[in-house]
Amino acid sequence: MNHIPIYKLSEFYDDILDAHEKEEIKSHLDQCPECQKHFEQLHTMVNLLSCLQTISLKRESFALDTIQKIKKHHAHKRYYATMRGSFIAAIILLAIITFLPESIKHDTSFENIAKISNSQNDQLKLDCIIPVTMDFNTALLLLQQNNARILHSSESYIIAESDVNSFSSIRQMINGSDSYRKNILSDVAVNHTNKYNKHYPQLTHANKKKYIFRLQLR
Amino acid sequence: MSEYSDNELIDRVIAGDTNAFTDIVKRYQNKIFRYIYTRVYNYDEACDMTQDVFVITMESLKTFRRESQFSTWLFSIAVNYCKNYRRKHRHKIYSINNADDEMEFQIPDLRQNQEEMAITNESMQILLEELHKLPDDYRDILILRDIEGESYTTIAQMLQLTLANVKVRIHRGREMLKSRLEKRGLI
Repeated sequence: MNHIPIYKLSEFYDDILDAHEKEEIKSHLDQCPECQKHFEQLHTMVNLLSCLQTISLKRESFALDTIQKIKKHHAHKRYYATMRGSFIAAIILLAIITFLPESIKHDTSFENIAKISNSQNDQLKLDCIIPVTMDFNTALLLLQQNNARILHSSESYIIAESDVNSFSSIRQMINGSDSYRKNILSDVAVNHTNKYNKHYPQLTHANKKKYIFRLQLR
Repeated sequence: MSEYSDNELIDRVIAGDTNAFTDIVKRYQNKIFRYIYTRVYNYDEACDMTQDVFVITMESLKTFRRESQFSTWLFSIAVNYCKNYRRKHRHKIYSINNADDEMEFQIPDLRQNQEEMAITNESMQILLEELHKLPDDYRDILILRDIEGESYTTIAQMLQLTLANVKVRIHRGREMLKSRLEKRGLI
């Protein structure tokens, strides 16, 4: 007699076989003690397993504790999200601070604004100071004729910006045919710039596209 | 226990009513705990893991598309969580004979005659031990089928298996457990 395969007994137990197969197995089980024994063992085992359904949580406050844990988890998540956001913002800000001055190096408007705001007290921003004997209007006219841009002015000085060529002609017009360096007045500027470890502006300096200078009126 | 359906409770939770989630937890806590406990066989750890499953469920509740029953979806979260947990803690050695972990079972009298073996707490411990020693795939499927009484189709959805695969695993798992229990003299 052929015994029923175990998987068929399992399916028979779960009642998922068709009516014909069920009948066959039923009649076989009536005649075969060995298959009957297997089936009974299967039955006992599944009954034992179903007893495990009585496993349950002993803690009464489990649901409330879980809700507390969820709230705590959300609070942590929000905190870390804020921290992460702040960290990213700090990194971006740092990157801007580090790279922005380089990237807008030739953006004169930005540069000028920055320099104008500090120009009165922070003379280091200036490329040079040129003492002149002319009055305010004459100096202003001279600068305008040479396309220099007036950044700031007062009764005693004019801060202007110009390119290399304009600066050169302004300088020559101020000092006549003498070179700027040899002029007594220009020495003041040289001394002043040396004092602050500034290099005297070299007009042929290829990288220096703009000069910012102060005409110190007398 | 709340009289609201799962979907009504979910709607309330999504609308911001956290207390509705308490009802969901109460409804499914034992089912999820049982599944996890039979996997890790440690009461405290199973408690923590059950809580974690509900934390994950709460977080991803908005993604529940209601294509299956909520219980099926919740159980699949538990199954995946346990798999990941097992992977993360694969070096951990579980103590099988930890007296602190012994559970008290409410055992129904299944004896049909006096000769039949009485089911004791001890025999339940043996059963749990042997169930715990089964490979994950077979243990999961026996828990769902023979402890929780889930249908073949639901099991297939929960474990993302084909129906044929579920049938094969159920009979192999039962065969494996039966031979082990036979050796222990339990059946």
